[in-house]
Parts: sequence; C-alpha cells; structure tokens
Amino acid sequence: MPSASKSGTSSRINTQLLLVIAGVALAGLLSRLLESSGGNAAWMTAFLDSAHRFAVGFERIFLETTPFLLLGAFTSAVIANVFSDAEIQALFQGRTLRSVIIGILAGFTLPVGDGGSVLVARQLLRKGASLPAAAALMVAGPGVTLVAVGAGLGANGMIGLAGLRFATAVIFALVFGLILAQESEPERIIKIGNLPAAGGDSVSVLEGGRHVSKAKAITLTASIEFLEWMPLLVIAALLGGLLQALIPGGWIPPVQGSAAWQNAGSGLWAILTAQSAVGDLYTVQNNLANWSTSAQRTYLLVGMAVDVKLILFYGRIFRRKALLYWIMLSLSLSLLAGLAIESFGGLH
Amino acid sequence: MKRNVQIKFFALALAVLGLFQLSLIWDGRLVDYVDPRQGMLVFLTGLGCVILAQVVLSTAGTRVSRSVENEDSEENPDSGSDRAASGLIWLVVPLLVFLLFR
Repeated sequence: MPSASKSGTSSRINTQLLLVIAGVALAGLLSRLLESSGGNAAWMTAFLDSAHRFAVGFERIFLETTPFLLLGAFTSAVIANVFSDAEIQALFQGRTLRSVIIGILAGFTLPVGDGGSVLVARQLLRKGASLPAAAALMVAGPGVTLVAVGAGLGANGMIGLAGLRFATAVIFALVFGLILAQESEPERIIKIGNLPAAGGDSVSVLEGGRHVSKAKAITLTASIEFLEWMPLLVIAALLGGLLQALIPGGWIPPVQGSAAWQNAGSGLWAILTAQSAVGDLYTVQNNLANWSTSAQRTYLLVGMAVDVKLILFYGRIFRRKALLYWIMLSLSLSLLAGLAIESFGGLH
Repeated sequence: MKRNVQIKFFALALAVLGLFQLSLIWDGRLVDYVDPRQGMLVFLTGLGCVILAQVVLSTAGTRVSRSVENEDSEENPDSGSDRAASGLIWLVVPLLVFLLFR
C-alpha cells in the first residue's frame, strides 16, 4: 500500500478511536453525574441500568479473555522461536483426517483456549502447517483445552455438561477440518497478509541486532503478539458490552416461554457475553436451578463455538465466506446436538 | 531509536495492564465482573504482564547501545510490532470503563 494511502487510513482509524474513547468517557461521566444526583426518573434508572450492564459486560469479556490471549501469545512465541518450519510441517502435514486429529490433539495439550488458539493457529499456518490441522486446533481449542477440561472436572455437578462440550468441540473441529481439507488453495480461505512475520515478530524490532537470547526473543515476540491482538479484544468487549446493554431485559436468561425461546435467548446471551470456556461453566453452574437443561446446554455449546470475540478473532484469519460457513455450521450442529439429546431423553 | 521507544512503549502498556488487573483483585472489585474462582487466572495474568514488561524493558536497555549501528536498518511498516504499537491506545478503554462506570 502506498505510504500516503496508509497514513490516510491510519489517521482515519485514530480519529475513530478518539471518538470511541470520547463516547465511552462521556457516557461514564454522565452515569456518574446521574448517580450522584439521586434522581429516580424512569429514564435515569433505565440509563443507569444500561450503563451498569455495559460496564460489567465489557470488563467480563476483557478480563476473562486476557489470560487465554497471554497463554496463546506465549505458545505462539515458543513455536516461532524454538521450532523450525520443517519440524512444524512434518507434524501438521497434509489435508487428511490424520492432520485434523493432530490439530485437535494440539488444541487439547497446548494451554490455549478462547482467543489463544487463534494466535497459535496463525503461527502454525505461517510455519507451513496445513490449513485443516491449524483450523481444527483453532476451533477445537476453546472446548478441549486442558484449562477448560480442568475447570469442568473441578466444578461440582458440571462433569456431564463439560464432557458434552468436549465431545461437541471435537466433532465441530473434525467436520470443519475435513470440509476445509477439500480446498487445495488455502489463500481462498485465509488472509495470508495477516500471518505473523517469519521468525517471530521480535525479528522486526530487533532487526540487525547482535545475538539475543532465545528467552528474550520469545518474551518479546509474546509481548508483541499479545499487544497486537489487544485492540481486537477491546473492540469485541465494546461491542459485546454495548449489545448486552441494549437488548431487552426479557431476552436475558432465564427467558420465559417455550423451550425454543429459552434456547434462543440462551444462545444469543452466549454470543453477546462471550465468556471464556471457564467462565461460562461457572455461569451455568450458578444458574443450574434457574435455567432449563436445554438452555444450559445451548449456552455452553454456542458460547464455545461462536461469540462476539471469537467472530472478530477468527475474522482476522479466515476470509468472510469461510467465517460465515463456520458460524452456520456451528449453530446448526449445536441445534442438531440439542435435538438429538432431547429425543434420547436428555442428559443425565 | 524509534524501535527503542517502541519497546519502552510496549513495556509501559504491559505494566499498566498488569497493574490494572492486580488492582482489581487488591480492592475486591474483581467479583463485580467475573466469578471469584477465576481470580487466580486474572492474578497470574496480571503478574505475567508485569514480568513481561520488565523483560521487554531490559531488551530496550540492550537496544540503546546498538541503536547507532542499526539506525539505518530498513523498517517493515506492516510488521506485527507496528500494528501492536499503533493499537496500544485501545488499552485506555478498559481503564476508562473501570474508572468511570459503576
């Protein structure tokens, strides 16, 4: 891109950013003023309620995702600086069932979950891993990572639901990986331009420098990758928080009405709250008595596959069409899984 | 020199983010946002960010002595480090939300 055009785009983004910051600051100051005024007009109560929902929704998405993003950045940095391209290609090779299974196994063993698995998959793609393997790791990560499995085993009464989520994540990844294996030109699926620099991002910062220890190179690469993805997380948290504040209170679980309404409300709430694979388990556990069984299942399955932040993160790697396929696939498979479980008498 | 400033900027951002997360635990407001059982994850992330900041800053120290000989090195405007540096201002938003909203 020519430098004049690049600087124009950059200044436009900076202006938008300043507007966002000013908007958040104004809304925050207004809520403080209204709170201290002590008034109880209906519009004041509604505004304060929405402001509170926005703040809680925003900070929850931000705080729950940051640990996984940091873990993903570290893992990605280790892959960039410790493993050679040939080693990665030997392991994550080909467009076969084997490569998809290896991708899922890597998602299970590597300490990466929501968001973090995207950074790792991106690094693997840069090093020449096959698309089905990297995509399988990316989409299975939130549901099968050891951190999420450990939380499920440790949470009282959640083993069944955590096991169901694990199995569903594996099936999602298998189906999606095998679909992508049919595509022989990865550039039609992924955005090649968004892959990280060769040898880790620290190379561009330390360019031309003398020998730097591997540990420092890993740390620097991890920091750069972590901070590079941070704006996307903040945007996701802003979107999620704003939408949570705007939707009618009756749509928030437990939704009254038929089972279909309850599931729809639960699925929508899972997409908007964008909780981590640990946080959503705790939310369901805290609401075991209030939410219907199918609403609990929907919340866990939809939240693991598609939510505000995951859509933004996956959109950094996948082209729009592939992203749309993933969203449609995971939503329809969640629905089918729910129907199948219901027809066999539910989950006990 | 620009790279050296960039590294220090990374370190500052990481330190602020780490201290922000640790402060949430310190004053107990963490429970307003997430289940308290996730406190350990948030604590470790805060601590990790502060440690990362320290290590990154030490890398900047190394760079000071090298900056003269590397001043002419070609810069890649599309690198992840540039994207990271230009996006750091976004970190203001979580702090604003935390400070202004109740």
